Amino acid sequence: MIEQKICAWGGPFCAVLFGAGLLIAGFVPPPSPLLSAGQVAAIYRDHAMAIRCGMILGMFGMSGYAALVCAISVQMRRMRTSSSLPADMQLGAGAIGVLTVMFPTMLMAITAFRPERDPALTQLLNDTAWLLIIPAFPTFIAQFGAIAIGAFTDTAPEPVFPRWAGYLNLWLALLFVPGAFSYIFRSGPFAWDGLLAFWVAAGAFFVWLMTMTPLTLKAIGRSAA
Amino acid sequence: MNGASPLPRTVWIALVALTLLAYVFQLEGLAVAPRFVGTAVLITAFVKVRLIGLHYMELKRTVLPLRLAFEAWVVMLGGALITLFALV
Amino acid sequence: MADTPSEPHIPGEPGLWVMIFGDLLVFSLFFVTFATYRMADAALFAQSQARLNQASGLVNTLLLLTSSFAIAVAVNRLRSGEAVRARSAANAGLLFGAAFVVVKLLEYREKFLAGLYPTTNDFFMFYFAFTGIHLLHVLVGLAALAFVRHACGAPLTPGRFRAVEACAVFWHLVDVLWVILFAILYLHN
Repeated sequence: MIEQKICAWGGPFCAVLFGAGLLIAGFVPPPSPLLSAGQVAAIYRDHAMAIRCGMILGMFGMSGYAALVCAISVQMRRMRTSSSLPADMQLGAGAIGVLTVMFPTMLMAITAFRPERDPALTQLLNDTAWLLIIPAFPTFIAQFGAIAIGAFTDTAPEPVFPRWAGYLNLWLALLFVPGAFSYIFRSGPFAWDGLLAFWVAAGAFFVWLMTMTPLTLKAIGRSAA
Repeated sequence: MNGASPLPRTVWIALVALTLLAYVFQLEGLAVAPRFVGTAVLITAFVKVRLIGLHYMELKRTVLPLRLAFEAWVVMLGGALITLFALV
Repeated sequence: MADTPSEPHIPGEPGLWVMIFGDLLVFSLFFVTFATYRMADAALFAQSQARLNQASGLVNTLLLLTSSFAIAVAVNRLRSGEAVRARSAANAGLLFGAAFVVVKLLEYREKFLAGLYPTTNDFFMFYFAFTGIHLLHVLVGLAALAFVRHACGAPLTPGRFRAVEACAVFWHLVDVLWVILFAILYLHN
């Protein structure tokens, strides 16, 4: 039990470390997509060390996310559903989700590693990093959707997750979708630093972490009883 | 069906009538008083929203907190949009 | 939740309303953002709005309202045990909903042919993004309606009827959101 509980606490662990990492790097909100190559290069030059350290911290946080994803699936295996599809899909999509967040985090650190390079290249790397992380909604739809399917079809007398948790997951999954438009717009609410693509989606991610941890802890407690 | 609620058909007729009314009204009235027309269009929209919520989503017959939450949402969003649109 | 004797009924189930109000909240944020951007350049918004096809917006509004009506009828008929008649109402709901998608796609095509893209200006950014996210809701809603139609043919357990109600509420939400979108995108000037 205790190992499951530790893993479930990966949620707040991730929220704190990833949040702190972004703050330390000065990426809250992200640098605007409207900045010129020179301006982007200047940010990575002036804050090189803060960005490198912040990204190390953020990557560390993602181990907590991976742990929470596994703890959720271990509990979801107890669901009385017609197949193990919800638990498996949650685990598979959640694991890939770790990558879509971790890889751009690495890229930002790499961009800050040699900031004296040609500014155009720094801009390319910065574009790549943000346009990997912000529009990365598909795995979250699959992952949160799997939790919803599980919560809705669980016929156990004492279900693993309450039904409202299923609806909450569906709603939070939707909040990631506007991020997809960040491929199209360089300014406004749908740009990668915008209200809907950045603030709402990032908010949804943190709300998810902070609600799934207590829900999972409760499920673990019930399975022990 | 509950005798107190109007039939879905009655609600549908009201919704369609309001839609057509707002449409024709904004065609005719735009040249005369654009700001007034804009506000009227928004009010009509939120009356329709409330009709759908109360009768089709069946919030008229539900527990009070749920109904109040919906009514509050209609008033708050409607009020905010009407104000923001009337400013410019 | 409350189980009062006078049976004030919660449509679907209590948890459903977490998502419904969540969705209403997000779209409220969309609408207020739109209104705020419009204040910065009302002339541009008015002149871009004039390039929308009001007729297809109107047709789509009538389609969704009628579809909602059909689904409300279907739920009532299921409730009173008229499964066969409920099914034909659900079919009508599906048909009108699907027609909405066709009209919307034709409208997008018309915009693209006229050289109007999401990047044309702020108004069209909102137009494409909001109607696009709404269209996603319509597609999810059509899947929900397909479930309602399917439920009309099978034996109706209380759990299944709860699910039917939840699907219907979601479909009406799609309708509600469109009514506001139609007013602020197509009509208000």
